[in-house]
Amino acid sequence: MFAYTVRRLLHSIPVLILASLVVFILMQYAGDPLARLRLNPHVTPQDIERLEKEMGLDKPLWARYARWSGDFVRGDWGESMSHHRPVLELIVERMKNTLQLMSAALLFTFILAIPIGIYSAVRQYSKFDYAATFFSFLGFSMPIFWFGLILQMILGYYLTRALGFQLFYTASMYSVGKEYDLINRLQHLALPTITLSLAYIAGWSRYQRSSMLEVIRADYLRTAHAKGLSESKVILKHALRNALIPVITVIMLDMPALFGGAVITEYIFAWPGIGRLLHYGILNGDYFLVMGIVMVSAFLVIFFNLLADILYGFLDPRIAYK
Amino acid sequence: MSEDLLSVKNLKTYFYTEYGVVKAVDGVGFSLNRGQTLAIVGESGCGKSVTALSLLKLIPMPPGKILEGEVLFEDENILEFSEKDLQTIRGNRIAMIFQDPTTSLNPVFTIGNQIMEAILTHQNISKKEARERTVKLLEMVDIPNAKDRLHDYPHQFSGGMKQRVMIAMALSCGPDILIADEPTTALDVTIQAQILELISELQKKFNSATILITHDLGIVAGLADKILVMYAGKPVEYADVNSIYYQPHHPYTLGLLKSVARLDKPREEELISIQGSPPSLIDVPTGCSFHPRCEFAMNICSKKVPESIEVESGHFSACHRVMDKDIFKRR
Repeated sequence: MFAYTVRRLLHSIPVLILASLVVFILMQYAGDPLARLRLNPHVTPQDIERLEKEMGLDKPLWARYARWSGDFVRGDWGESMSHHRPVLELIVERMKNTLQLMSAALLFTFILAIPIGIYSAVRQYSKFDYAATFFSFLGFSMPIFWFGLILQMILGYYLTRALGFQLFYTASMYSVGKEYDLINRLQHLALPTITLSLAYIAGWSRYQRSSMLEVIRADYLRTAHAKGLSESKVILKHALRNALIPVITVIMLDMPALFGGAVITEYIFAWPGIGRLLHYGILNGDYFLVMGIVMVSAFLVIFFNLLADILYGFLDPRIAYK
Repeated sequence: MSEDLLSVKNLKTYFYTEYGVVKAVDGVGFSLNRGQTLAIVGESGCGKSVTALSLLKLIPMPPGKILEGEVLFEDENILEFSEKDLQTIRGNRIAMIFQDPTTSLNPVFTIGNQIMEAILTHQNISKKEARERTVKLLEMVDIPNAKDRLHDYPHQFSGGMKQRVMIAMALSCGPDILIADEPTTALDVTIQAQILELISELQKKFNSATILITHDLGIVAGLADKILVMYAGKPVEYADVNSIYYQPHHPYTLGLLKSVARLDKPREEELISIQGSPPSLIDVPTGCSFHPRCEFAMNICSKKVPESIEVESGHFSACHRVMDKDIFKRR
């Protein structure tokens, strides 16, 4: 298992290099990083020329890539032009907040979607199943930005007016001065978590349902029944363990998308995470910042793919890593 | 009758599908004592497996439904048991092994885990004792290195070995009745004999009863005490094994017997197959459901369902021409 993991990690190096190359080339055509400065009447053409030399913009593409990638590997991800701070430092700082939101959403989705999926499958065509089907299609078709705004309006604004106090907050991570107040943090966390989770609750519960339905018809479940096991043991031990295998793959492959979904959610709820940083960076043509964040998401894709494969091995003994 | 271990009366299991009602089991009855083996014989799709599954109410409901009948196990009707009471019978007093051992074992748990689970569900013993018993069971079904193989997964066993594991699991609680649903169909011919031998050997050891379901009359001869022949969900002939082999009283049984190769007959003799194929259980022919394929069919056969008649003592047959002794003579 260990050797397999190491080998897979080594395999991911060429993938990362390729990804960085593609990202770098695309960024070259995304626009001139100095465009804003050129429009600034206070910046002289001499300044521009000096900056171009400093940043290596006068050199050919391959030379620029070599310089950027060399610095990147050494931990120098460049300086953000809009924040005037090292990109790596900025990303690490914001990543913590994003991970907080992502883990909350992941946990929330998992503990809702999996039981819903199981129950829908076990009681197929019941009222619950139809209701779950209806709401999951609703969840699928609801755009994140719209749903977030609606939540803010109903649970943030109208509910506060009705209750006379603020139960859910609609922006930022905590109220000023209440940084270490857990309840206050949860009140801030609730709405963005629900917003981010919605589509995934819908999706994963569907996957769980269909994979459970497949397993429920399996011969080995008949064996489990014939052994005299209780219904709950048959479902939660024998069926679930098998049904989770394909679902775990889907969940792991959804992780980078969850990261992407965080961009919009963070923007709506003024969550100081990496998504908002990216949004800001793109709007301001912050070249190094965008490069850094895109590379981080490339890392994430590869990391969660690897994690999916390793989890697979734990869940399914038929898969041997040699 | 009350000394019977198991007595099934007029069992009817139907499936309600969108194409119509499937009368999978339509009025089956038999009885069984300790130490006895009953073979249920018939072509694919004649309701043998559904009969077996109905005994323990393992039919998926819906679409299945047990409409009528009694399954008297020690004079108690299992069909009226609550789900909880049924669970104390299943795997404990009546155990089952299935046709395909490859799909019948859960692929993600070790076989030790799966056998121990059966023991721990029904018996109040420690995990350690259960593990020891599991090793003994695996040794009993001739699995080499039983102690180490406990930790192996089903995919690490061959088909025959998996069926041995299934047998060990079924016998783990010392059941009174073992139901074997085509236990050798998915196995190599060379393995078949070994598995059947093992089943009958263990039956003697435990003094239990066996219900052996098969489509192969050839393997039944040496093993069964009684035979129930089914056709299109209905019992057509029911008798003890010698009586049926010596003198069948139903054209379908006769056809099945003629289609079995025999070593004690001249080699030139042709194997005769029954023409046609079994009917769909949704659209069963009127009258005797076998009449379209029967070489002795008369007018009445397509009009009236034949009643089961006791031809000799303990030998039942459902055929309009059952008294026409000459036609059933085996050459």
